[in-house]
Parts: sequence; structure tokens; C-alpha cells
Amino acid sequence: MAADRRSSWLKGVLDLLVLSRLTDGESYGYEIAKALAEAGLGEIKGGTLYPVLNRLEEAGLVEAEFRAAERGPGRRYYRLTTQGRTHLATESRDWLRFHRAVETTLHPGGNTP
Amino acid sequence: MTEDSDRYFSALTDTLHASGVPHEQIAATVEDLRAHLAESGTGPEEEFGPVAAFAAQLGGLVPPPGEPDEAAESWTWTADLFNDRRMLAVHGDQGWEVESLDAIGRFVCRRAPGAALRWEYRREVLKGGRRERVLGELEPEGWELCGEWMMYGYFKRPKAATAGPEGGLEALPARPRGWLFLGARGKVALVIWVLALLGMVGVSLTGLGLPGYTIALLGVGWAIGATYTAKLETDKGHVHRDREAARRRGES
Repeated sequence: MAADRRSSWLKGVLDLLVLSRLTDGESYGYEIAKALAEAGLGEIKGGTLYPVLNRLEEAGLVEAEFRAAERGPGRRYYRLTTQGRTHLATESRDWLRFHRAVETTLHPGGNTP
Repeated sequence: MTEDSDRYFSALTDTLHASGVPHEQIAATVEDLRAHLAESGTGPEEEFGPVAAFAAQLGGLVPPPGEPDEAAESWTWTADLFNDRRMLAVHGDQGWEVESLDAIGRFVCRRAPGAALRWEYRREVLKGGRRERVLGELEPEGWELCGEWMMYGYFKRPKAATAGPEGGLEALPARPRGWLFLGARGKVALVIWVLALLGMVGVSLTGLGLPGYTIALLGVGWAIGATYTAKLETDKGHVHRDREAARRRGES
């Protein structure tokens, strides 16, 4: 039950989390998943991550460039577009407002258990 | 690379190809995913899930890149609840992808030119607390909720997700001219509904002082007109379905 709920929360905000991993520069799928796991968001499988990256690319929020590697398979690198940066700023504000409303409702008066 | 990975990526390549994704893009995607597995140390099925569902999410549900969406055909139609799944199957096989259901429950469809896909559909009851469970069961299999009407949810999936290259469509049948497809039970329901409506209108008109036979003639004329129109539309649907079946028999 707890895992299901966490999964639902993540589903609603995963696109923003992926965009946020690109604010400091380009990155690729595995590196993004690893960074999110290290931030405590749990393991994001490739089957979840790549469709999100595809949708972000289709929406023009990220740009992708495939680069062949000297050794081993090549990778697709993603970077934030100007539209993506604006989208991330706006949506992050909305998310934080929502988060504050939830927090206030769960802990009226600022008392946390 | 293991045999499992080779099999997985071979199936993924075939399915994306049937979905109209350009060859270069497929090659880059597969190489990128192989790089992911090399770093994660996981197996393809464990990391990306069932190949059919993953392919549908990566390429089967979007128009081929570079193809202007304006070039796609659009068509809106409807059918009664007894007949909608059969007509969805017929039209899905002709490459029509349901994008949504409009406010009056009609199927709003598009069809990409060139490399169109065959689509399969299913209808599920979503009300009564069933939504989460149904979505949880169907989404991993590549089904996408494309619209809702009353208590029903309609799901679509490109046939390429399960049939591979066979799910593609090389020649596009002409767009059906009709938009209303009623089955026998749908017609009966329509007649009952029209008669009930006529009854109510009759009661209202009686209040205006019109003679009884005028009201009866108006009502009968309306009922005949509605039934005849429904028959014409359904016949058109049958003709298109039969032509498509004959064409497929000719191909095999």
C-alpha cells in the first residue's frame, strides 16, 4: 500500500524531476535515473523513464542528441530547452503550492509528528 | 550481450519499425537502451518491462517523427453500446486511432498518412472503484485510456505491440462516409426512445389544440425517417467492413 502510494506521488511529478536533473547541463537516461535514486526518490526503471523522456522531447521541453561512443554502445544525451526551463519554473511553483497545502492540512498549526 | 537482450531488442526493433518509426531513430534508441543495461547490470525485461508495452510507449502511440500532424485524416463517428466494440475493431483495422470521446460520446479519430497502424480497442467499466485496478492491469500491457463515456472507459493499443510488423497497414481503405453505426439492438432501443419522445411531444402538442391525426402523422413520419437513416448508416458500415474483409482475403 505504502509503495503504491509512493509510486502514485512519483507519477505526478516525475517529468519535473527529470527536467530538474538537466538544469545544470546535459545528461543521459541511466545518469538521470541514478541521480534520482541518490536523491532518495527510489529506483526509476528504464521502462518508466524513457517514455517520460520521449514525451518531454515531443513537447519540446528537452532536446536529444545521439552520440556514438568510442567503446561500447552510444548514448542519447538530453538537454533542457528554453521552453523546458520556463515550464519547469512554472510547474515547480505550482507543485510547491500544492505541497504546502498538503502539509498544512496534514499538520495544522505546524505540529509535525 | 546475452541472447535474452538480443531477442528483446530484435522484437523491439520489429515493433517500432511496424509503428513507422524511422530506421535511424530505432537504431539510436536500441543502442541507447543497450548502454543503459550495460551500466545498470539488469536484464531487459526487468529494466524495461514487457517488450510489447514498452514499444507501445516508445513509438506506437505517436505520429512518426517529422510527419506534420496536419496531414493526418480526422473522422468522428459513433455507434450504440451494443455495437461499439465491433465497429471499433473494424475501424481500428483500417488504421483509425481514437484520440478522445467528445461531449456526446462520439469517437474522435485520426489516421496518419503513409505508415498507419492497425489499432485494437477494449471497453471496461471504470466506475464503482474499479478505475485504479483496471488501469493497473491494462497499462503494463500497453493499453492506453483514450476516452470515457458514462461508466465506460475505452482503451487503445497498436496491434504492432502484439503482432509486430503484421500490425502495420500498407494501404489505407477510404474513409467511411457514414458516422452512425447501429446494431439490431441499438435500432430497437432507438425506436423505443423515439416512441417515448413522441409520446411526450404528443402530450405537449395536444395542449396547443392540434388535431390528433396531425400529431400521429408527425410522429410516425419522424420514427420512419429516423429508422431508415439508421439503416442506411449501418449498411454503409457493413459494406466497408465487407470490403475490408474481402481485401484481406485477397492479400492472403
